[in-house]
This record gives sequence, C-alpha cells and structure tokens, in this order.
Amino acid sequence: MNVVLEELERRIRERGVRVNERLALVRLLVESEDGSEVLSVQIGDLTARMEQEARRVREVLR
Amino acid sequence: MVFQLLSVRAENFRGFGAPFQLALDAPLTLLLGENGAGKSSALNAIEWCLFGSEVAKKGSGIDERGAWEVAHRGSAGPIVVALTMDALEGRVVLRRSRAADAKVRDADTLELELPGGDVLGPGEIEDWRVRNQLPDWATWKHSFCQHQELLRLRVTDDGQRSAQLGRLLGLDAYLAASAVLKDLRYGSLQKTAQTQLADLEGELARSMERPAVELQEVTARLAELGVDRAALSGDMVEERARVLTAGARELAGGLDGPLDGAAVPDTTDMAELAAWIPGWLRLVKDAGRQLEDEAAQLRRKQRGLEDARASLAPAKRRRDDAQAALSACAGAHGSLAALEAERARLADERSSLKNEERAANETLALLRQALKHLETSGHAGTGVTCPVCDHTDPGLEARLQARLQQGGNGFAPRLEALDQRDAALAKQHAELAGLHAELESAEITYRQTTENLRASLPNDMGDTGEQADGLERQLAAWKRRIEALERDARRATDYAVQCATEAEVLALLGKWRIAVARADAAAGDLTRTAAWEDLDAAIDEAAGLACDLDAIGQMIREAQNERSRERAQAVNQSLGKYYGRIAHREGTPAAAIRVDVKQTATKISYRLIDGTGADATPVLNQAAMNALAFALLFAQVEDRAARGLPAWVQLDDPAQSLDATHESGLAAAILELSARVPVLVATYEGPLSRRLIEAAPDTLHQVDLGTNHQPQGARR
Repeated sequence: MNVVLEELERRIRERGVRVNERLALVRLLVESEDGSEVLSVQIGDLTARMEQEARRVREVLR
Repeated sequence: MVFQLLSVRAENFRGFGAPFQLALDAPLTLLLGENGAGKSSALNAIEWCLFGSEVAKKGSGIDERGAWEVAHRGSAGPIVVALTMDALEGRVVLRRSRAADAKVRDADTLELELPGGDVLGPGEIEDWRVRNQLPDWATWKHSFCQHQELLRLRVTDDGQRSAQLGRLLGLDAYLAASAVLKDLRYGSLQKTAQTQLADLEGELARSMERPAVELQEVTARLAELGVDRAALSGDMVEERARVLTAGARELAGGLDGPLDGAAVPDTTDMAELAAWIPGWLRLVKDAGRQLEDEAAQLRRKQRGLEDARASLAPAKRRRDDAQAALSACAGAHGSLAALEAERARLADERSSLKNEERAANETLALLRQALKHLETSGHAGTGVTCPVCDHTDPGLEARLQARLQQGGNGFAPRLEALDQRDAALAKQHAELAGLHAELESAEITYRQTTENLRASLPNDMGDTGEQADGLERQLAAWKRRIEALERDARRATDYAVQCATEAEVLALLGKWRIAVARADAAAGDLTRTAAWEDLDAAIDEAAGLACDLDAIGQMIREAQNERSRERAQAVNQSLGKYYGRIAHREGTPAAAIRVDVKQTATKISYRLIDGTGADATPVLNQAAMNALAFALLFAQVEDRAARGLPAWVQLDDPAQSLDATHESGLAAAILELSARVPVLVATYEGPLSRRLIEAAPDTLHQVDLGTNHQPQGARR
C-alpha cells in the first residue's frame, strides 16, 4: 500500500487543495487495514451529527 | 527474495493417513502419480497450513471446497501439517493442527517455530505474515496456483480477468484502495447532506410563511370582534386589560350580594388575567342565575297573592247573594221550621178527615143494609116497625134513601185541598233548604279564600291580608324587588357575554403581539442562528469529506492508469511470451496478446486484446483459453518475483484439456518460469511430465507417488 500512499501524497501536494485533510484521509485509507472502518465511523458520525443539527434547527423553526 | 518454501509434512490430512513429507526446495518439483495417489492432497496441505479453514469452506471462492473434508478418513489421530520455509527470520516452521474430533467452530492450533526455538501464536503470526509480505488467500488462489475450477475463470469472468490483469500490472494496492472507497459508499453521505439541507430550507420557507398567516388570521378575528386593524398597538393589551378589570370591579360593587367579596386583580399581565378570567366568568354567570332564580321565586309569590286577591270578591259576593236570597225566601214563606210545623198540622188534619170519611162510609153501608131489609121484608112503602119498640115509621125508607143519595158528605175535595196545600209547602221547603245549602257553600268558599290570601302574605302581614291597602303595598314592594333582581340578572348576563368577548380580544391581542414578533423574526435571517450555522458546518464537513474521498478515488484511478501505462509493455511482453509458448504461436499476431484499459468516470477495468486490437477471449478454444489462463498466472508470478515479493507456483493436473503440442508448450513455459520462481507440478505420466523430466535433469525434484500415498521417488 505504501506505493499508493506515496503516489497519492505526491498528487495531493501537487494540487494543494485541502492538503492536510486529504493527506489524513489517504493515510487512514491506505496505511491501516482498518482505515475503511475508521472512515466508516467518521461518515457515520457526520451523518448522525447532521441529523442532530437538523433537529436543532427544526426546534428553532418551531 | 528471502522467502522460500522448503518442505511440507502432513499427517492424517485428506489422502494421507501415515506421515508424508515432501521437499520443496528445488526450482521445479514434479509429483507424479495416478488418480487418487495423493497429488492434490500434497498441494492442498500447503494451502491448508498457510490459510486453514479459509481454503475449505463455501466462501473460499472454490465451489467444490464447500464439502471438503480435511481429515483422512480412517485415521483417528490429529491432523497436522507443517511447512518449513526460509523467511526474514531464517528457517521457520509453520505448523497447523486440528484434533480428530474437532467441531466446525473449534479453532485450529497454529504456531510458528522460529530459528532460536521461540514459538509464535496466531496473533504474532499475522504480524509475521505482513512482515514477510506473504499473500492472503485471495492473492494466493489467483497468483500462486492454478485450481482447475478457477483456471479459465481468470480469462472468461470479467471481474476476475480485470482483477488478474490489475495484479499483473502491479495495481493490487490501488485496487484495494479503490475497493475500500467503494465499500464506504461516501456518495450517500453527500446525498444525505443535500437532502437534509433541502428539507430544512423547505421548512424554513414554510416557517416564514406561518407567522404571516397567523398574523392575518388573528387580525381578521380581532376585526370581527370590533377591534380596528389600524388601532392595533402593543399597548392595547394593557389598555383593554385595565378596562376589563375596572368593569369587573364596578359589577362586583353594583350587584346586591352575589359578588360580594369576589377578588378582581389589579394587573394588566396577560398570564395573570388569563388565569383569573375563567373563574371570574363562572362567578358572574352563577350570580346572574342566582338573581334570576330569586326573581322567579318572588314572581310566583306575587302571582299567588294576586290570584288570592282576585278570588276574594266573587266569593264574598256569592255569600252575600245567598244570604239575601235566603232572607227573601224566608220572608215570603216563613222559616224552614214554620213550614215544617204547618206541614205536620196538615198531616194531622188529613188523618182526621180520613177517619171521618171511613166512619161515614160505614154508616152508609148500614143504611143500605137497612133499606135492603125493608125491601126484602115487604114493608116497602108501608112504613117500617121497629123490631125493638115496634114503633112504625112510614118515612123511614124515604129518609134512608135520601140519606144514601146524600153520600159521603164531600170528603174527597177536602182531602185534595189538603194535599195541594202540602205540595205547595213541600216546594217552598225545598227551595228554602237549597238556599240554605248555597249559603253554607258560599260561606265555606269565602272562608277558604280568605285563608289562602292570608297564607300568601308574608308572615309579618298578620291578618291584614284582607285589608286592601296592606295587600297592595305588599304587591307593590314585591314588584319593585322583582324589577331590581331582573335588572341585576340582566346586567350580570350581559356583562358575562361582554367579558367573554373581551377575554377573547385580550387573548387575540396577546397572540397578535407574538405573531408580530415572529413575523419580525422570520423576516430576519434564521440561517444566522447558531443551530443553523452548526448544521451548515456539519453539512460542509460531510460534503468536504465526500468530495475528498471522491478526489482521492479519482487520484487513485489516475495513479493506477499511469502505473498501468508504465507497466504495460513489460506485462504485455510477459503475457505474449507465455501465451505464444504454451499455444505454440510465438511470433504470430495472435500471440501479441496485450492488456487494454477501459475507464469510466468511477471505474477502471481491464481486458485482453490480440494483435489486431480485437477482444482476444471470445474466439479462443478450450486449449487456447487454458493457455491464456496459464500465461496470465505465469506472468503474475514472474512479476511478483521481479518485484521481490514472495513467489511460488503450484499446478495441479495442468495438462487437462491440452493436446500433446500444448502440453509440450506448457512444459517449456514451466521450465522458463522455474528459472525465476520455484514451481510445484502435480501430474500423471504423459507428454508434460516426460518433457519436464527430459529438459531439466539438474533442477527437477521428481517424486513418484504411485498409488499408496507414499513418496517413492528421490531427488534427481
């Protein structure tokens, strides 16, 4: 996997957009076999947070 | 390359009951034997030792493994397979064992014996595998061996072909990273974010409409209740509240009694008023009903007294009339007693007259008897001599007749006159008795009427009920009281209606004030609230993550493409070489097999094309298909070795479906591959084995299994 990590890091740096975030994601994805699970948890957390914030907004609207 | 398999030892495993050992350290190992000799068992033992139950279940990717039995039928001892190999640590022994009576869920015992004698357990063995870059089962089954069941799928199945070619192009890591991204389904995160935002924007729009509609409804209702829209102001609630409580105080003081002591709050607070108004309204309504009840009760007494007063005069008149009639009648005919005395006297007189009449009638009968005697005695006309005194009376007969003619002396007319007189007296008596009865009845009625009147008067009136003045005064007093009660009752009822309306107005004004505030708030930007900002941040974050993952996927595909372009020439050469050799087509356009990349927005797949650019697989026969599958496998193994990765290939009956020419070609390919990578071939006596034995006298380790599962050959 290291080859992918190195390759993607090089490409991300070349483009210079949201570098740190993307590099962190790439490391999660590539460095660890559990990377996908970590990302799944992150996606799950974000979905839950969106729903929670949406509930708060609805309360404000009421 | 450090890694190398050196030997395998198996006991009680599938075809092997007795211990079986096979050296694997030669560049090319040839297992020769007939069907059932144990060739496949030897290859299976290596796989089972490395991967355990992963190779012996339905999910192994090899369907026939679903009903696989690891244990040797007929052996009672534990199953043990040990692989000796050179690794980064030096010479190690990987040993897997399973009790003969182990259940499906029981774990195998797995240990790794290190050169110093240390033994690693399963968790540490995993680290060791990673350290030595040993393949997982999926890589093994596609890049280390040719299972008959899987052989041609490498070429015919799109997914497998693409994966094989991807591996061949050295893209395993990219493909694995892409697979992880695909599994994440991060696109749904982006959709969730968009849906949440769209839903909330819709709700925001509706929430901005709601206060406006509410305000309109409240204003319209207030107009219906007489509150001018133009006059609406924030202070109106307090003004109307003051008017309401002042009115309540006035009512409480103005009513005589029912609302005495009722508390009216001195406040304009909406909440306090809202809590007070319902109870106050109940009190006022109860007071109105109480006043109405009292007035009704007094009206009933008034009617009773008026009725009694109205019936008194007729009763008195009737009594006076009866009295006058009786007096007149008595004056004319006398009293009842006098009439009764007269009638008694008349009865006596009549009785006497009747007696006289009876005596006269008896006399007349005697006279008739005497006359008849005269006539019968012959004395008629001669006179009659008295029998007693013998006196003769010549006129006796005439006198007797005269007397008889005279008759009863007029008793009948006298009796009739007496009866007529009595009848007249009886009539007068009846009339007088009737008048007496009427007088008595009138007296009773009059007495009752006066008693009723007295009863209808208040107690303190005493016996003055009959006195007109007192009566009239009482009636007038009652009338005034009734009017006052009814006036108060009306006032309470009217006030209750006004108060209810005013309460509604106050409540509506409260709502109006809130609606105005809400409308003002809605008109402002709710999206500036902290809650909305937090939501926005969460959605941004989610969208950012999804975009990042998307970008990474794109970068992986770009890197994959670049790498595959870099590697294409070498891979195509290797593929063409092995395919041309096995299929005996070296140097022909058909042998110019190469990898073609097919890319979509989210996916890259690979296929094989021939020298003409056409898809290579649809026109291939069975042998050519097998040749291509072997070429793919060999190219991969060669590539792994070139990249310094552990490489090994084991072929189980590889000559199936191949004619002698292809077998010869396969042997040439195997020999070429074995110069770079150790190869284990299990086959029967035939062109392939002969060619291998002939061509590689120095590098071949031949083992003849015969039919009894015991190694009979020796390294040559």
